[in-house]
Amino acid sequence: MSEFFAALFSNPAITTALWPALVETLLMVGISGLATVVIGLPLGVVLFISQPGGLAESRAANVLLGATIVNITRSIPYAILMVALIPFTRVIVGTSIGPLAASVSLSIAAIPFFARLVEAGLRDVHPGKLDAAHAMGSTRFQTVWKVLLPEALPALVASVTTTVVTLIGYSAMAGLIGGGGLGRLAYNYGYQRFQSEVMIVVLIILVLLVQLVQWTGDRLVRRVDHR
Amino acid sequence: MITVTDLKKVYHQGKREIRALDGVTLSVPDNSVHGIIGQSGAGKSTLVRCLALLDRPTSGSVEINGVELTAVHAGELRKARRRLGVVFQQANLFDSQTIAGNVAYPLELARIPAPERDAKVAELLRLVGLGESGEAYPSQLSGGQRQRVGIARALATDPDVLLCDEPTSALDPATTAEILDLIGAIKARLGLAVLVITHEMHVVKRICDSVSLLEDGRVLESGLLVETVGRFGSRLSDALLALPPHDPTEAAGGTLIEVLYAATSDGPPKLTAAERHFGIDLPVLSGTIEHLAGTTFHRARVRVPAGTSADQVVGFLGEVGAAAALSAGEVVR
Repeated sequence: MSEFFAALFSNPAITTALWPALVETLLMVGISGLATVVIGLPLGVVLFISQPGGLAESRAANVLLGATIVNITRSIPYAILMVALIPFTRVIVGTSIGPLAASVSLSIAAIPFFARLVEAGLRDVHPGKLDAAHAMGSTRFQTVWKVLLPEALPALVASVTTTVVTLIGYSAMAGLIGGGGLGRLAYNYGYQRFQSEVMIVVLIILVLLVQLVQWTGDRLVRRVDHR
Repeated sequence: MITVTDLKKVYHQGKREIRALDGVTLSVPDNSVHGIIGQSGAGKSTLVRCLALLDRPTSGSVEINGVELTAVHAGELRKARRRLGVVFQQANLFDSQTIAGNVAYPLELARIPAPERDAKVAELLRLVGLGESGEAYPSQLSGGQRQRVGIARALATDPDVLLCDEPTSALDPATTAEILDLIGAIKARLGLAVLVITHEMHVVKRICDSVSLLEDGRVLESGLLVETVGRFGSRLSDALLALPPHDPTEAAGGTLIEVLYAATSDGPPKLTAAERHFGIDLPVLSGTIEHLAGTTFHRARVRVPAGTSADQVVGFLGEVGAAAALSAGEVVR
């Protein structure tokens, strides 16, 4: 056992590479998480309100965004999507290396996923509440902003939690093609160099990270849920 | 005052045309409650949605104090909506907001400044008997309390008309009575025209001044409650003064007749008068006595013994001011 720890604390993969890798992972998840919420939330709202019988029914928008863009993106496995997006990433951020570059493919994979979660959360808001908002003279924007989103807030917070946890998993894959981060560290040292202690440490950190995100998310949901 | 004229709503389901509303006309004066009663599928929900302008009617008009809601465009309509408060079956409160927040919502939409808004919210909550509960969330209230909040919210913009869609259908009998009495008290206090859509006769009996029977998207019968009940043989009269079933064995050896009359203070009860006139007993097999809209109505199914002409009894009852007719067979309803 002491040998294990001796190896652990003398291993440069742990002593010098671990911290930057953690920071890279947090950057990837942070940037792509933010982009996902900023773009995915409105997209989810549009998917919901454009559906047949919705607040702003639009077959064209629903088919284009839902059946086409969202479903096609979600059909592509992330491992393939991230490789396929390398040229696009170069155009957007100028490089395909680093956390910022990795965030492009992470966001593109997570946005449709999150948008569908948002749509499902909004669908759970009782339609009678929207009728009430409408009958009191709300504009469509007011109905969405002051009634629909606040009423769905617990579901939205839970969706963000699920999405961030998913992004932590994807970020390990993104690390392999240049994103860096904990996934890259575990792969290079734990897998390719057979240093299983590095693998174990990275796994423990990832588990703790996911637990922390889930716990924070659950607490937030309880705080905003008045049902 | 709300006036509905020839309101029609037609849906298309493929090539099939569904006339959910087929020319509904009615009007409710201020300071009165009009009940619209109908079974499910009669068009009640469509009528509510068209009156609340959640759905645009296919044709016809809805007028509140002379302003035709069906004619105005979207922006104007939102303002016009403030003349009409809607109380929903499930209250439809916003769970994410406090009780005070819920009642304040329509005032925010009307851009009422905050201090004025708070005062108005407090006043409305007192009016519905929830003065202390402003900071609670809807989930902390009982069904009846939630409906009180729904009523307070509907009254926030000082509407002229209150539209209540099955306001008590989700409540237990005791709470139902409380909520109906509250609606009645508010009507009297604010002089509102109130429309109550319901499938429950007891709602009509308890608070309505007038009533319409809706079936297949049409108003089949309509009128003041006291007139409607007195219309012997009409659907509403039958439903409002329903006769309980009788024991068929008691019906043997005679002819059944049904009689309906409004009690008067002068003279003997009509049936007693008939018994005396013919020198017979008229056993009551089933009957009901109800005080509705200020009048006490008696309705009974009685057996005319063999040997006496039931037609003559019916004729006599008619002469003394009671509507009567031979009972429709031995069918127990």
